[in-house]
Amino acid sequence: MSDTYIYIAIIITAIATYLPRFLGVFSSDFVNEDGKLFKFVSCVSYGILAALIARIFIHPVGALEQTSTMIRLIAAGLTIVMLFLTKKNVLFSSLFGVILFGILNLYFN
Amino acid sequence: MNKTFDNHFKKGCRTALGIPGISLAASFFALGALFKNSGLNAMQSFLSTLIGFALPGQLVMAETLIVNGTLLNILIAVFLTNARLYPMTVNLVPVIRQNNRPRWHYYFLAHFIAVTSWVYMLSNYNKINKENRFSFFLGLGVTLWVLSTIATVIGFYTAGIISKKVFVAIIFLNPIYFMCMIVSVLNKLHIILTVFLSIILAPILFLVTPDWSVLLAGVISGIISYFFFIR
Repeated sequence: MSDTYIYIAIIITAIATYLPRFLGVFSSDFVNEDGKLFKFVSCVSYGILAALIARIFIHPVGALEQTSTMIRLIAAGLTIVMLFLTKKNVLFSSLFGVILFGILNLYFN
Repeated sequence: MNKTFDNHFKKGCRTALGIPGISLAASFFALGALFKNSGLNAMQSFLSTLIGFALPGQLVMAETLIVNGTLLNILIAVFLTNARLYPMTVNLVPVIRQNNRPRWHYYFLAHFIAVTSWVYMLSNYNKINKENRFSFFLGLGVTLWVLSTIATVIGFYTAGIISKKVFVAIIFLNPIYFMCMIVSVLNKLHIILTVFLSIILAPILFLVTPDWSVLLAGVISGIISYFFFIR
């Protein structure tokens, strides 16, 4: 794999990444903040994001793949409990989740 | 730049330097290490985040390079992976739109739309006056982008130094943060239904079509809750 090939791959990745953003700005002309279309796009966006998170927890790729699914799910579940106990303190709950996951992964994986 | 623009731009920068930036930088730090193991050099790793700022797409690029995929493979795989940026951008621009602002400003800003900045803005835009949202988002997005680029390079140079268990915990911060952000803003019925449906559908669809599962689960659950609650 030559260096030039990798540079071209990076440029192609940048184009393929900017394209949906570009098309998104273009299409947004037809959407206003109070319309039904806005709510529809909101639904789809949150749906995709939720699916992405579910995939990372259940079928991750990369380094997380070597950790136990049960540990990932327990850490995620207890983090949600902590989120509600702390009246939705995202910072505290996120740190709690990571530390809990780290400890569980250290001792039980 | 006027003073109001300046103030809100700075406010966006400061927000990014908190948990959104820490969580995103953690993921790009891991990406930098992965790039090194995939055969990229430091300049290529830096450039990748600088011009192709969207982690899942960069990850797919590295994976495709490892298996000697063609450039066309990379183009298609990255586009599919990052297709989620389309509805997210369509959703975000009306929120930050200002009538007197030239269109090219939005095309420029689009480069900084990513999950972290989007989740933060969509969860908090009601707290910011409409005329200040563009400058706030620009500050937020640009700072996250700069942090991510720096984190990629640091990750590249420190690959192998950090213990594997700690490294894995660092990677876990980003999905946990996304989850907390989404759960903390679940107050509208149509969004709650979408999220629940999608969480159930995504793993099931993964068994049928791993590549399309995220996109399909999101679109199907979005359509169902739209027809139930909005139409």
